Amino acid sequence: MGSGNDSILDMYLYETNTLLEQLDGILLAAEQADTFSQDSVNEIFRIMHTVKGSSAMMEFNNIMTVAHRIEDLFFIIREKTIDIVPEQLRPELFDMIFQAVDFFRGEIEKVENGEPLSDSIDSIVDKINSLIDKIQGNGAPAAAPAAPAAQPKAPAAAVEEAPVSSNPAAPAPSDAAYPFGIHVFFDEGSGMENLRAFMLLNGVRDYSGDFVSFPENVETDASTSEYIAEMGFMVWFKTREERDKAIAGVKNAGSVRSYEPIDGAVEPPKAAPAEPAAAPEAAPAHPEPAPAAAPAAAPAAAAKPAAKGQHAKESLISVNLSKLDQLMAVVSEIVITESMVTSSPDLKGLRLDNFTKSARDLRKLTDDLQDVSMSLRMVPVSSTFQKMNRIVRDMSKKLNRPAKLVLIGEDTEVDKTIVDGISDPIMHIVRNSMDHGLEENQSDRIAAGKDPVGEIILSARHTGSEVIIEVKDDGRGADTQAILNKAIRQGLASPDMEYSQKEILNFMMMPGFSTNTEVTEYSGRGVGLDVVKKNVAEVGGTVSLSSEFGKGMTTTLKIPLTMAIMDGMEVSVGPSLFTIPINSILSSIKVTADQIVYDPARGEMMKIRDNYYPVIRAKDIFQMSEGRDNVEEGIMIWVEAGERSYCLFVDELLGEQQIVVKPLPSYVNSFNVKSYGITGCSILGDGSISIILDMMNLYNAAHGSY
Amino acid sequence: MTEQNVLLEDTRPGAGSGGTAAEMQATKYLICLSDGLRYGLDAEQVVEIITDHTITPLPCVPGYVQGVINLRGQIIPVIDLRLRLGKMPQDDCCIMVVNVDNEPISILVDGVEKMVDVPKGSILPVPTQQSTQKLVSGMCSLPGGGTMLILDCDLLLHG
Repeated sequence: MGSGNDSILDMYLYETNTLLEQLDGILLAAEQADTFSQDSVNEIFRIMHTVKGSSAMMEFNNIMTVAHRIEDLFFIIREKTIDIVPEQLRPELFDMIFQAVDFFRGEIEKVENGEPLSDSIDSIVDKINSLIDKIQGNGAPAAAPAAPAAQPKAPAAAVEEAPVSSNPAAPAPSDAAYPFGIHVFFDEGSGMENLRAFMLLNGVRDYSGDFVSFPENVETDASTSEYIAEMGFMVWFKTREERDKAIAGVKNAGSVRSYEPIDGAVEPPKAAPAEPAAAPEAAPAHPEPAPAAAPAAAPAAAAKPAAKGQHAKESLISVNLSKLDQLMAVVSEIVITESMVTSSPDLKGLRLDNFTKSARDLRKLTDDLQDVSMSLRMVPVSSTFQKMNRIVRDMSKKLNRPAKLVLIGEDTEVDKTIVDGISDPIMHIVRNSMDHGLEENQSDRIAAGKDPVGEIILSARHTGSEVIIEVKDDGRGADTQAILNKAIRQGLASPDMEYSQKEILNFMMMPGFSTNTEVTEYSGRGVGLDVVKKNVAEVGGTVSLSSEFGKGMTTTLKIPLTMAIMDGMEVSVGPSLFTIPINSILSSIKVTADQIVYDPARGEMMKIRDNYYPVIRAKDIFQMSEGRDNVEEGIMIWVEAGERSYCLFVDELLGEQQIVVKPLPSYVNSFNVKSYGITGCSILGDGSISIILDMMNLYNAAHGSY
Repeated sequence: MTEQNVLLEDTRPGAGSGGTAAEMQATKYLICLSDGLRYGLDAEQVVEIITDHTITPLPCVPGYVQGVINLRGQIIPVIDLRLRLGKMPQDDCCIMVVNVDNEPISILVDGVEKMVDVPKGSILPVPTQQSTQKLVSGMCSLPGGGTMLILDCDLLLHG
């Protein structure tokens, strides 16, 4: 029972979170346009409806109540179109809904953490109610909104040709667009007929997503229960086929005493029967005085996205991430084992034509398997990006700085764990851009010849093995002199040194650069940029900044596509094997002793293309007893990591290889080997272990900076 | 197995002097040798004993962490008990894989002797606790003569 409940709860959380995200998107788009399109009203209505229904099922009553009130509100808007909400009330409407979304989020979080839900929903419900009152006071005194579209009259003449029904008690189809009905009676005295009807509808939804029911609102309006018990429950479909399919769903539903298909009306007299809803849908375009036209159109339009959503759902399943991790681990093992088998030393010198052919096939298949299992973990960054919309909106309101967020390349895909890892850093950067990047006063922007509305561009794109995420604002940019002064005061920079612009910007990412709000008084940024850098480094990425004073600032995150598999260069030092990530290698160079130059502290350097780079000897930094000392015997690998570039001296280059990254045992990690550039290990084809190096940390360990 | 039963019978009378039920509860220990001393490891924690495995050395870790081994695709750190206790290393050795907090760790010892059942009550505190012996949580005398020091794997890792 417990596990069953958990999975329902999981499903509920997943579904509700997805819906809220969707809702956020709709709201932001709507706010931009300062109005709700009929489609988005329907969508919001549908989302609130679902949230209400599922929350009621889970007995999260406060969520249900709030969702119910919003649903009511949107019912009115749906009926009378958005025009009923006067311009001056709209900001209030948007704020109220955003507030409600936050409320839902907060409550859902509480559910996730197993905390008790809050009871104090009065203030928010009051707000919604007062808004409803205001709107209603404004609108024409029409039918009570909460009442289920009381006997809406179909507009088309089609219905006038009275329904041909075998059961005289059966009600007429409530909508000309849905002429084919099923009349269902539940077992007598079964009780809670409205909920049974709701369950039935859920069952029917598996077969056909496009239908209307009478009475509506069965799951919330308990008073319908009596009507259903007496008169039966009607479900109307657009076509006969759909209806016939849905009968299977009705059969499966519990407590059904009898059901009867009803052909409510002849096919609507239309040239294109495929779109029977076309006419009523067109109605709102030519505002008709007859209010009856609207309700008829609304369910039709509402049903459409619902049907679409249904389809999308069927082709997707949600899988626990740990299972994907497991799959990935097994596949990785298979890839390694495959190469262990095919390159087994026992086969050396044998002529095995058939074996070689089969081995080649196997290699191809394992490669495919690896690709597919990796692609399973790839998710688009769009959900992370969408969240930023909200942040920009809220901050722009709070700081009174009009700003817009432009998203580019939202469908770029990265590994799920990486998406989770970069969400916080991106949020941080966007906040920084809003808070410190964009000018405080619009007049400053106008004076600088910029668009008064600030712009933040958030973009993502692929480049081979990396994803580049850029946050670009057109604000003030960084005042390098102010940053340098501050860095000197903080003791991060030396006053006697000359720094390049890039180096100065990098001070902002140093821990301790920004210790308080004082930063804002300079053009300063750097609020926790060191944290951003750390978070990004955790998923194997790098952060770089560029800025032009007065023009804006760009923060670039370079993130690996996946952390599980990478291309590495195998090198050896003495008996030990190391893997250097291919993407940090610039080139490998054989050197002669006279190419090495020394600084006063006997630190070695090497000149490559008019620039001097420090030399780090792997043997020395890892204090190994074996390995070559003579530079002419070994090989220099010119590497680049973040902003650093240097040469790593190793014994031998063994070749490029795709490797599976395995984390080091936590016991080993407890010795803080990460700070020496040892990030993980991998098992090579012959079973030996190679240590994966992180070029950035290796440099830091060698030079003690940072 | 028979040997263990004999041992069990042998140990009971010694512990029986206390005569309470708690002392009748016995724990199985695996005795291993390191530098002439017998160490007992809780048999529940021991996963397997392997010999002749290539140890990949790791840089930047204390000397007693000999490196890591690849045990069927699992990367497991190796701790040399001799070095951990400040003794000289020796070449002839075998590896015991133990599970500590659900994480496999392997310990390099000179050899493995046998399993014994030790009643709880017969475990005594170590009177001469010094810094190098912090890894030992108790000791007891063995029925066949000799003494076993009880090696605490948690202390070995985090001590």
